[in-house]
Amino acid sequence: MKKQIAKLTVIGALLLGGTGCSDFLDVKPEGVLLEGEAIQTQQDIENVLNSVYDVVANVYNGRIQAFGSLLGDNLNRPRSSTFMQEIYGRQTNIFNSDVSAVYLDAYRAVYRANWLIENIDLIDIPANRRQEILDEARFLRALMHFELVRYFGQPYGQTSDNSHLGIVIKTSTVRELVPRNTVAQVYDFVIDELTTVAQRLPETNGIFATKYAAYGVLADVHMQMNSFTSAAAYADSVIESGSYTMMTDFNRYEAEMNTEIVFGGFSFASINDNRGGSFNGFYRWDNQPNPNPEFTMDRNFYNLVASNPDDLRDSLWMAVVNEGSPNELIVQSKFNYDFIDVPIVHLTKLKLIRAEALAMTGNNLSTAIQDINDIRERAYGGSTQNLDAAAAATEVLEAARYERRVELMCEGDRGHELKRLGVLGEINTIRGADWDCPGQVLQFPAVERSSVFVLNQEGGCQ
Amino acid sequence: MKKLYTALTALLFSVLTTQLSAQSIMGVVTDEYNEPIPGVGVIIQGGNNATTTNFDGVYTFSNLSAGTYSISFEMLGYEEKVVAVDVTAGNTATLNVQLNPSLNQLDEIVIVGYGVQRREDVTGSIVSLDSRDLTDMPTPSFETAIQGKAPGVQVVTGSGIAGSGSVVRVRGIASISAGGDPLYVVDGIPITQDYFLRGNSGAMNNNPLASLNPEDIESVEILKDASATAIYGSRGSNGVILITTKRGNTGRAGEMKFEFSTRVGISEPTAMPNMLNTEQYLQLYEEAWYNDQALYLTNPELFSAAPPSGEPILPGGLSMEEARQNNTNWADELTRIGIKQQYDFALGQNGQGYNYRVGLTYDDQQSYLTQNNYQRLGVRFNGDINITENLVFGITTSLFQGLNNRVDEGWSGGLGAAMGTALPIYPIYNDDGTYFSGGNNPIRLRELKDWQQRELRSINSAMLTYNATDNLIFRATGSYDFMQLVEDIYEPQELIGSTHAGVAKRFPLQVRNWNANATATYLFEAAEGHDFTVLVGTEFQERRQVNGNYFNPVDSSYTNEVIDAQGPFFNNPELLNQLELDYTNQPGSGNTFASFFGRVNYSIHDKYLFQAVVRTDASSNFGPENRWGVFPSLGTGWIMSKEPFLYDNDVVSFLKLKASIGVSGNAAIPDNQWRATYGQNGSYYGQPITYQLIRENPTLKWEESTIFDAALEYGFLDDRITGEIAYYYKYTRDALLSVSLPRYQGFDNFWDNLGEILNTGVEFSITARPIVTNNFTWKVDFNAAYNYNEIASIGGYSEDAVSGGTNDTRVVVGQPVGTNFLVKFSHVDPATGRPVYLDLNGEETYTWTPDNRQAVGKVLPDAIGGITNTFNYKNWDLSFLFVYSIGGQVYDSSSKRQLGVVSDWNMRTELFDRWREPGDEATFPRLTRDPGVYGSNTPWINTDMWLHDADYLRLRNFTVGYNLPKSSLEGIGIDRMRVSFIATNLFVITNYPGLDPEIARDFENATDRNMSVNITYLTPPQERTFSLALNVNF
Repeated sequence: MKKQIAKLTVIGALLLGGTGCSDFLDVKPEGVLLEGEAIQTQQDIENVLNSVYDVVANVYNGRIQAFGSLLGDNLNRPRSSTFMQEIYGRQTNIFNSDVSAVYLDAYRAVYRANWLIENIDLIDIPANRRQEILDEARFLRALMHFELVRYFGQPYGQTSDNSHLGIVIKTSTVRELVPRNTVAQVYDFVIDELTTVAQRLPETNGIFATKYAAYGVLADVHMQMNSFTSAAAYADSVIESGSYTMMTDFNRYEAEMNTEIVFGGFSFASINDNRGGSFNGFYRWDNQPNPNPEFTMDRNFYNLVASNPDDLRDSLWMAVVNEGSPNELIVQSKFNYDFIDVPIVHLTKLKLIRAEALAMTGNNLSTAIQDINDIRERAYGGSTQNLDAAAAATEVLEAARYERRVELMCEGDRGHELKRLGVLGEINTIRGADWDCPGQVLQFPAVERSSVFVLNQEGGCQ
Repeated sequence: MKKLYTALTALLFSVLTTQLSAQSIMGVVTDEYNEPIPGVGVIIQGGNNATTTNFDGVYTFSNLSAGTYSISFEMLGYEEKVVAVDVTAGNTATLNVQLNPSLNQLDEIVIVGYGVQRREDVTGSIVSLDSRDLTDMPTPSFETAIQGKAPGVQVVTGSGIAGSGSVVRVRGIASISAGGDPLYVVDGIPITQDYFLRGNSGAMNNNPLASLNPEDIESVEILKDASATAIYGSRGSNGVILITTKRGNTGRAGEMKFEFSTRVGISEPTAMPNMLNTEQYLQLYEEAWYNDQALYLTNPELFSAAPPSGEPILPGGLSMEEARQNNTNWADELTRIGIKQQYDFALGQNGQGYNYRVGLTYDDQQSYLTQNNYQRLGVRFNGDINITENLVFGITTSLFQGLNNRVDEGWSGGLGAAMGTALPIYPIYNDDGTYFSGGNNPIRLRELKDWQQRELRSINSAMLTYNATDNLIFRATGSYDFMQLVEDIYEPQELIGSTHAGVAKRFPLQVRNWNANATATYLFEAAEGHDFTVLVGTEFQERRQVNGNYFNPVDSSYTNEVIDAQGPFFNNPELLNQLELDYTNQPGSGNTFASFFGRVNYSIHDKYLFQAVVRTDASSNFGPENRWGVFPSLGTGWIMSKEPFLYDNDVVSFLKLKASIGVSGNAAIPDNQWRATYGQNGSYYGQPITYQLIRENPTLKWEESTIFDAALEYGFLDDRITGEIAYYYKYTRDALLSVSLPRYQGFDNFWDNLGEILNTGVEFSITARPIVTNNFTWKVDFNAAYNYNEIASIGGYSEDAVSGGTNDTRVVVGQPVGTNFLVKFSHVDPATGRPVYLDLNGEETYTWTPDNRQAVGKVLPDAIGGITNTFNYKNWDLSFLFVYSIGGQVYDSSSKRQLGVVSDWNMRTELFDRWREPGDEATFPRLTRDPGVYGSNTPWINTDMWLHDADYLRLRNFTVGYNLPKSSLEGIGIDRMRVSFIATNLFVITNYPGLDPEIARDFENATDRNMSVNITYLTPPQERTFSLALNVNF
């Protein structure tokens, strides 16, 4: 018996011992890279930064701008897309996958930026470039937060202390269920980040983020907050840098033609890479025998522009097809290009910001007037519609707002602009609904809801 | 052959006895299947004359005086029988006796993991089914036959598509995103059981079990509790199904045995849809059209767009005149009477020092769907040989080819189209004889598309057993499970509508799965009555899946299709001439397991039983921080009927109390989900990009279920009544969820251990023989199982974080896995005809919004079970099996289109009960073509209007059989011949208004399979079959 037990023990030990398990248990997935393979050199880190730009460009390929245009008053109800009709009708729900796709992509960019910030030291990188990479990542991260908070929270200023809910500020890759931050917190975060990186970012950086890109976004952010002094100052520092020149033509979206872009999403035609695909999809009409764009222009808006016989923009940027027939469409021509460079921060917009902001403060009106006239001379083909050098602030303000509406048509600005005016008390409704009714903000995707995350109020804008 | 011996022997005896001129009694003792039983004790009562039957079951008494004798027949495992016989002077009386098996299964052997145990010694919860339970009716796949026969095992039979699989759940479901099916182990190897190798195509998932031939299976054991499943460690928590194939060692020594069986039958659908004909369709379509025009005048705000004016414009651009000329009944056109046939032949021998069994099978199962059939051709060889006295080498090998002629069904076409967008107003053919293609024409798709899936499956193992001593046994097993799936699709020019002649596609893939294990078993008696059995072992398993692509050297591209082909690959092998098959190009996947385990059984005087099991598993699928898991269990049993106070009790013949507690796991998740991976596809502004594909989760681990089980096994009245009552409590922690993270995390999906799930329930089974006489017996098997399932936690995520595919089941804390999460429909407003919904506060509203979704139903039933009645009268037998399900719901997802907003879908006749004018109390709202009228901006809205109770009682199997009398067989060398008639799914009693209340549809992924059983979306109903079967043994 004892002998048998001894024998058994030996056999058992043989069975249990001496196996090289760790290799056996390490099954490498094929066709993908592991971390050690993907991140080996500085170039790999640069590639991760490129991938953040890549996603940001996808967010801006016409999708996120569509929401801002649909919430405004320049467009008709989308013609077939149920999800887009929901946005226009101010009744998005948790299943609107067009909304959730853009929202996810924006946070995907945030994740990649956070990953980069957390992992940059996997590789030794020269200190200057290392700081630059971090700052570019932080710039992109802040930009995404700004875009999202404008769509998913009521506008800055809706409550006096901005304690109303915005979006989640995400500064790490940690998985966590967290509540929404307030609008005040999000704007504070965005401004802190942008002002910090603006001090260090270079003045030129190819198509990538620069000091002026950060200033330009800050101008936009402060304008949205109705902080006119700051908005004017930031716009001023970009415009006066002299790095960007006014276009004389109207092909703002045609790839490689826009000299005004401070920051944008760029196509790369040689490998057939178009970064304005959704603009094409929503608006383009010149490449089909029977134009059938999803988005068409509101008749009243068209008439407004067309009523001024000198204005070139009604005919250059819009067209009426099948006029007078039941299938008449007023179409948008800004995006009739095979390859589009998307201006995100650009000179025309900065001039409009500066003009309006100065008019609001009443300071330096002559600069504001010049800004308006720069735009008008292009829009009207001459100086016939120029403001008088002695124009009053109210006149400048009216001109700035009108030009902003027309100049930035279909660029995603109009909805935000109207909400901002709602905060100022200058309008009460947008297309018949209160400027801050629940449907004016987009609903979060269904999966956002958790024990701590509260969705936006339902009920649209009845 | 054996019969021939018997007959000769009997003849010889009878001749001898006659010559001796003394009175004799002789005869053959057989079992319930007419197989002779050797070794039966035959005793003439009131004297001391006794004998036993020989190898051929023959006994004889000679030199008796004339008179009446009472003779008793006794055999372990059979019920004792006492028969009276008259012996007249000078004659030999022949008394052939058939014994019924005793229900006392004390000496029954049960397969447990890595060994066998006596049923009496088992402390865990194990259900055993033998081959007859699995072959008593035609089924699309063997697991279907388990339904209603094993308490606590829910089998949801697959759809009517040939070869479709069932969904099997053991004691509820303890998984959400990880595979919820039990672990299938065939002859010791956990086999490839992935239902999603080919995703979801044609409304069917590939069924990995279809290639197992039921006729090859000797027994199936279903392990249910931790005491039984812990030996399978990280993979046992949803139960384990052990499949043992037939070997040659069951026959009597030396004899060759031959078996032949065949079954021929027909198949038809259990139900046909009640779609509208042309006249009805036009009537309702017109009504909706004009309703909208009228309503728009008073309530334009309800409409998402102004309804078109004028006459109705029909789908497909047909005019009313053209439409009226057609009245196609698409369902009739796409169904048929399917012919089913099956042939099995086996031979085996239990020789001196060796045994073998060879089985051949061919079957061709046509479904009732046109052009759909599944053919199997297979061979199996199992054998054992004694290399030396102590060393036995065994082999188990099989090769099967399954050929599935696939069709598009469900959402993809066929009968599904007939219930959807194939309208009665469409013709099949245009006037010129070409196919109509102005609208959905499922006949055109079915006849033009060639689609075949060929599976090659080989499951093999070799086993070496060394009996070092009588008490010490070493065993080493190596197994290889190979599966190759090749799917061929051909679409001719007319179907693809391009300038190419046609496109032939081929998708090959292979799964290679090998396993090696070694065990040592030691039996010893520590002291008188203290018996130990100790098992230790180790096991390694590796699975690799490789997808094949064809390399085209002409343009250096990988492709799975040839354009401009004249036919499919399987008919046009020359298409492959230009291509090279490459199995390495595509990302494959694989996983490995390494395990060590041990089991100790300790029995005190065969009365007090203890079992301890521990298994430790490591898997490549777990994160490095949790790579190794330990799964222990403890079981104990007390055979009370052996205690003095119950011993030889007249009423209680057997009583055993058992209880166990332990932990088992589930590791059935996609490979390598714990590991961060990176991709580099794409660029920005011409610059390369690198990004993360999968987020790292180094703590990813198995799900872990703690299972407590207590049961009482009983036998009364000399085991005329036997059965078991069991209670279990199973709490699952770290349930694996493929969670849709909140989007602010920046990632779509992520595998994490997040959930907690409770399953608890009771099971009851009873087998009774109310009547047992010499000529007539009646046996009843009844079982019932109640299960309560609840998701206790999903880590704070939303109900939408894990969704059951497109099926609108959700994970809701406090509700069961597979909860229907829908907006409540209240009623049709009699004043306006608009549907009225309820919001979360129970307030009525005209508006449908997903924010008002709530838990309104569940797909899991509360109770399931079956009842089998078997009657034997002389050579006749009759049995019928009812199965039932209580307390679950069916979500008829397609009816939101068939009974909702009028569109290009055909509708069902129930819709005639719709609102037409103010004051109408109708089931369905006013007909409209605009979803706005129904308060929604999307036409296909999910409400509990489409949720129905799924309670049913179904006559699953009805069999009449006749065993030819031995007397008529003896002359022709046949041991046994049986003919039977089998009908399945004869009827079902249910309130469910749709086709079939039992639904296993096509699923998108494992989560969907767990959460969306009993959701139908155009799923073809089950088949009803009628078959004739012949079984011959010789």
